[in-house]
Amino acid sequence: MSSESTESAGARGSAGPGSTERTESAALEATELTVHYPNAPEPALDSVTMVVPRGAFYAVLGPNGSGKSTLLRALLGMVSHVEGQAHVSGRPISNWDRRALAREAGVVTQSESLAFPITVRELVAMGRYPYLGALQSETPTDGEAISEAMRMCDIEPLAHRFLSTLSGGEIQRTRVARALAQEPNILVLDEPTASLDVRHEMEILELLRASADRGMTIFLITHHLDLAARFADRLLLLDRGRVAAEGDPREVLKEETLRRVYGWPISVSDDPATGVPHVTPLSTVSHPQRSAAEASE
Amino acid sequence: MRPLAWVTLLGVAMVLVFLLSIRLGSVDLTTGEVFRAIRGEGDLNVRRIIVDLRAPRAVMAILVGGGLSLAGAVFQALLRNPLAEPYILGISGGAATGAVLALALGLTASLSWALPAAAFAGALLAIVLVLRVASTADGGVDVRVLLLAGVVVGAFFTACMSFVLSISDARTVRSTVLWMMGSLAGSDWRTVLMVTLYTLPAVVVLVGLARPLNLLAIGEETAGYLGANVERVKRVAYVLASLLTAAAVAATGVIGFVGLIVPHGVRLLVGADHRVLLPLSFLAGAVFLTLVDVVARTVLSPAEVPIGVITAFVGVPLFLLLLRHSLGGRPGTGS
Amino acid sequence: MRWSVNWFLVATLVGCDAIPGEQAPTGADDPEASRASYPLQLVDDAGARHTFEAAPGRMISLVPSATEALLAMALDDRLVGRTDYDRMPELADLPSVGGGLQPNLEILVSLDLDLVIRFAGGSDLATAQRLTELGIPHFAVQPDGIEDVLSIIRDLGRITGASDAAEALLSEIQIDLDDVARRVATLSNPRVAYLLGGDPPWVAGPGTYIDELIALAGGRNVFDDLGPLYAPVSMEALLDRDLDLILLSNGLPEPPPLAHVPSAVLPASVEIPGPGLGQAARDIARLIHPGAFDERSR
Repeated sequence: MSSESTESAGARGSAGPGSTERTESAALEATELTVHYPNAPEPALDSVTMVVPRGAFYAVLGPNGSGKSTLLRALLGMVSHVEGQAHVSGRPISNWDRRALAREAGVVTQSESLAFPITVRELVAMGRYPYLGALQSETPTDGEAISEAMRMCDIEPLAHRFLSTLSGGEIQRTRVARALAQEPNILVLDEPTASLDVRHEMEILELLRASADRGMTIFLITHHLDLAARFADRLLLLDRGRVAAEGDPREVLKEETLRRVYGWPISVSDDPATGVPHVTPLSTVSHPQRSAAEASE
Repeated sequence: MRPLAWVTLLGVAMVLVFLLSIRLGSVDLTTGEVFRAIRGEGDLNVRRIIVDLRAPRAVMAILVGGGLSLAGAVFQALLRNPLAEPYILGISGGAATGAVLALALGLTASLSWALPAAAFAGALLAIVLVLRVASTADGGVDVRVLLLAGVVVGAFFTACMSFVLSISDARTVRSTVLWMMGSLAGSDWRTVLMVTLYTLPAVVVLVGLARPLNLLAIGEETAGYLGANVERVKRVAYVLASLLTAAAVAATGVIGFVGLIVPHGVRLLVGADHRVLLPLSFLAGAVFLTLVDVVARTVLSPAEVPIGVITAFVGVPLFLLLLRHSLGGRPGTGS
Repeated sequence: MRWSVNWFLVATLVGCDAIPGEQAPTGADDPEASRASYPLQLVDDAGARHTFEAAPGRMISLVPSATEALLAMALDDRLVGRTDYDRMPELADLPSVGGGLQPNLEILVSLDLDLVIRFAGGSDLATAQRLTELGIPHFAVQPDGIEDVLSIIRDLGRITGASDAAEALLSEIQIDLDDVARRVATLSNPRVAYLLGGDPPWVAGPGTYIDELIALAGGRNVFDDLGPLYAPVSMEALLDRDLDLILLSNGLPEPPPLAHVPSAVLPASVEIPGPGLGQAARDIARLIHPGAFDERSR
């Protein structure tokens, strides 16, 4: 299984910035995707059309309630009241068997609550569910996938610790490891670094970038405009269920666009350290020290 | 200890306890007499005691003890709640209402199977009601609604039962209360067969659902993303665990505690992997209830202590011991 | 769930309760066959037909009325077991099978019985069925009213081949009953209620031997419109029915709201509807019409 995915990853190549991929090689694709719940005044998603090229690091941004999580769920067939099309690896989502889909795409949701105590290794091992029969035990292949996933996320030393004894960052890494244990071609993450400190956040993003470089498709929902700009190949900006902008980070992170979508004065400049667009929200409250500093710039 | 070792241990224990349950009783018999009776020889009355009274009762203890424990484990996984037990979703209330109606209307006078049938019907009604309320538009089951609906439906049925009791005569009241306390005394081979017909298939299917139930423990959404057919699993698990409970309650009344403490105890010993937890819960419950039944019918012979009393007296200290012993090793659930 | 019926009450009631309205035909075969004659054909109170080839040698009675009847006819040597409610010294050495309802089946089987006397009615149909399955003959009785009790005595006499003793006992009882009736024939009928206890209090209604004894003893049961044999009634109803006398079950205190009504506690003889009916009738009559029983004359 692992060798197969590396082969196809090599054949796919990675999507560079600005490249236009054909639909057949898209990892995730939405066509006029609309989600409208019965009693809601507005649709959660409104005619969203977007493409995640195979092997790309694709980040989804937008204010709270703009439909990012809904888009994730709709793409993976977890939402009802859907119109339009969602495709995963070229096939309509309705054609996907759940187990096969789990072998294709690993998902890390925003949060989980555990009903019962569980160890790190047990949680990561659940990523092998799509490969195992009803009562079948782990095979050596599964063991390897689990170990590899834990190694990639640097949690091997924690293997037999109970999750409740771990820090937030360690728990997140464990969840990412579980998704990686599924040996997916696509990794989908919904704000995996919320409430993590700088180091842990960077560790996860670097892990994702490295995976993308090896050919995995990354679909990341995040609030951090800067980090998205730095790590992602393509961005999608959602505004109240609609696509506000999609494409290269420079094209998406434009001041007028961001001000309109976020309803806040925002300044975009090139970051001297990284060379990618750097987003700065401006202050609307005048503060003596700050205004003086701004005035002197 | 490895899971396989536990299964073997409990399996052997179950056989031993079964034999013990046949050997001991209100009437003192020697082991020789017991064995002769099993072979079909010896005194007619001794044979009657062993074959017609003790043996079906021992089998029933295995079926009901195992079934209730298994159902308890499944409900705990389904509702993601360690306080869940087989009666939490209104099944005992429905069964009790059916039973009291059968007694109050005098149906039990003409039809010997009226009581279990009515109890089962009442349980079924509760199951269907709760499922209807908790079903979502797209054929799924909302687990939070399930829990709430179950508690409310149960309370409603209990109120119905209380009302019927309040206008019934003493005989009905006494019979109902005795039935509610649970008893294996009336176990005959025919009832054993009926309970087996419900229990065995349910056990097989539920144990087969072990993996998806494992996934449910981390959340329905994640379970779905890991490839489980979550809605179908929930529905099947709910229906089968409920039928298991309904069959047990209809046959033996409301035997409490078993479905709550046995799965917990097993979980403390072997962890939360349902591939191990489910079969072991069944075996442990079978052993537990058989032992408890032996105590219940010998300790104050000729009287029988209601079995629900013994399950509490024995089960609670045992469980507390287990809890204290493992509190050092296993931390809380975390979030 | 709160039970306001106390257990002693229930236990007592259980000894003399049955399904309201279900009166199966009693063993009403022709009186000429009162001599011991086998084979004997009888229909019991549950409607089952029985054929007795001989007098049963090993018996147990789960019904206190029947147990007392057998003792009164000096047939206790036929009994090889008892229930927990049978506390007579003659039976003390016998093994107990527990309660009269849902007796311990293992012990029953081990007693190698020829006959079990059990309650008719559906309180414990399961036991009746198990007994049938286990091949143990059982005879159902239903001691509700006076006639029921008398016919039980008659039937037991015929079954055990002791018809003479039965008839003698019946005559004694009948003499007592007739005497009581004669003495109170011309007297007024005080309004009476019999309380068994519980909160709200349970009373006896028509069809019970209590009710019939009250009537026989020259009283009038104010609850002659009660549906079931025994049922709870509200304190208001008790006050409203304008009682002249309250009869209290043994050990029961008078309810405070009824303190203004004369009350009397019934002796234990009344609790069980058995061969003591005659004495029970006398005791009740003495409470209702004390004046009529100053001189004793038969």
